[in-house]
Amino acid sequence: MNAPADNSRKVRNSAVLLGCFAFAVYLGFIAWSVLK
Amino acid sequence: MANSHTAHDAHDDHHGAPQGFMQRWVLTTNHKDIGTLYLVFAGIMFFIGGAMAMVIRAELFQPGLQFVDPQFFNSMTTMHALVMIFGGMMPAWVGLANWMIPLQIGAADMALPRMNNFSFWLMPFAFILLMSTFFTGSGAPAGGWTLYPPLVLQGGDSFPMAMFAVHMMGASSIMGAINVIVTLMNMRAPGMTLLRMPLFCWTWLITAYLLILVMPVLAGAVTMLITDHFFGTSFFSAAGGGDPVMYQHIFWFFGHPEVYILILPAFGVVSEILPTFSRKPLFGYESMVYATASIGFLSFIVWAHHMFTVGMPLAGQLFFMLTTMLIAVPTGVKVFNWSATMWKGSLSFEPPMLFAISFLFLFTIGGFSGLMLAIAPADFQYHDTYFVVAHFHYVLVPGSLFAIIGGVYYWLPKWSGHMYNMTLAKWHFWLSAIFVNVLFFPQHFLGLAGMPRRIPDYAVQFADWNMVSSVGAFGFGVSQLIFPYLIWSCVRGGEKATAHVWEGSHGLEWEVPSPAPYHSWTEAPGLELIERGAAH
Repeated sequence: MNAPADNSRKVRNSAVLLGCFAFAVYLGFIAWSVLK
Repeated sequence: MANSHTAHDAHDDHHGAPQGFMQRWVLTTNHKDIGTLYLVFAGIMFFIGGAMAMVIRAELFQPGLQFVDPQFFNSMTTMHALVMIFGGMMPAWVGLANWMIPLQIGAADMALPRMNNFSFWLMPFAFILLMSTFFTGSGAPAGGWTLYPPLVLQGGDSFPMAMFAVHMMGASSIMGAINVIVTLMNMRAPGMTLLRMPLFCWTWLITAYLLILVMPVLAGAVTMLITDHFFGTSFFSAAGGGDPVMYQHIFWFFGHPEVYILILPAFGVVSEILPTFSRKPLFGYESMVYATASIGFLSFIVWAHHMFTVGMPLAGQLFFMLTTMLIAVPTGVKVFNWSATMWKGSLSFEPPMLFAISFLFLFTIGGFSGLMLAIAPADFQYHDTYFVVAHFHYVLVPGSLFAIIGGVYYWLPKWSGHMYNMTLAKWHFWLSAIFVNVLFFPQHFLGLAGMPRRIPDYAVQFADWNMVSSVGAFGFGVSQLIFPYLIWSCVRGGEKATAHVWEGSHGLEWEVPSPAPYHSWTEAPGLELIERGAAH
């Protein structure tokens, strides 16, 4: 009854996506400072 | 459903909490244990940071130099801020998020439990590193928590240690934020739609997005400071073609959303407490969500109000002045909704409610002084004075900290299974509420009269209000000792708490027994429970 769906793939994908986004912001700001 | 859940919990006993200390606390992946670890860590940090505040107020009790030398005084102000912001407030909110989010959305745990463990265990190492700077030849960082170059680059041996500590704290926060977002987006029980989520989950979701967007910016700034110091770059050195003001822009692009990271979850907690003790649904649930999102968005376009005096074009000053003032609109929506929630409610004044109501009044004072500071020409007078110190302490202490304390008093019976000593908790509230005003209100007068911040000595005309402020600080500091005693005695025993704990409580966390079983919502809650809880 009401068993949670297996969404481990979605969990992994969204975590990886957010991690990549954070790293892109980090590198992006440094790159912007270099180019500025 | 509640019955079948209770039955399941009884069955759960034989695979409940692990027995060994290492297994239970060091290797844990359980959201409740990690929440507890975060909260205990934050509590320790609050007292360490508080001790530093006591040193500051002792030195400022009278004009002249009494107790510490100026370099150490500057270390105290810098470390007080770093410890309180990164070691106290942020981990306290992550601790509350860990404990409450899975319980509130009907999930068995956080989405990424092992990363959760790693996020926590980075923190003690970061803070051991940061605190050990006191033992370096140059002493702890003393250039202010904003770490402005070129001053911060002169920090001697403490500089790389503090930078690495900030990097570790940032990594921990980013992982914590990823965990919160992934949990809230993927782990909600069937039927727990986004607009049925409790406000605490909503405010944390928006906070987590802010964290993901700005912690990497701080990390970038810190990386550039390190390369400027050790690898011959000149990002922030005018001599090499760089720009020290650019650091300030980058820092405050992180720093202003950071302020909202500290306060948005507080809005969530207050939005949970007020309806419970008013025995009414929250007024304007959806407008609360939209107001929180608006504050989150606006927090990204106001950063330069921290640096009006560095010299910027008039258009820039106008832009940042007006966007800052715009924040008063969604904040006003929130304060209106909280007042309307209490309006004609059947109010009772248990400790969480007392802290929430005083939050409402005292945070609003901090908000108003923020509006004053937002006025660019006026800020030229207020900048770097005690008026700023008074402003942000009103927002953070009777604002954010009172909400944390209120949240702990609200959910502690759910965590421990016992009620706490209400009389003593009310003493804690009244002493805190009185002393916090004695401590910070006179600082408005000192600032308007021209007393600069971050100084160990001052002109004699500031003596009286400094003495009053210090008396308030010592009173506030001593009153806080009630809090750990109360928590400790509540965890050890006391009157048994019911599942619902409070007469007017609504929401999924109140549908599991008290104390919350080690594994909860291993079966997702039924729609009926969710709808009952969502009648905010």
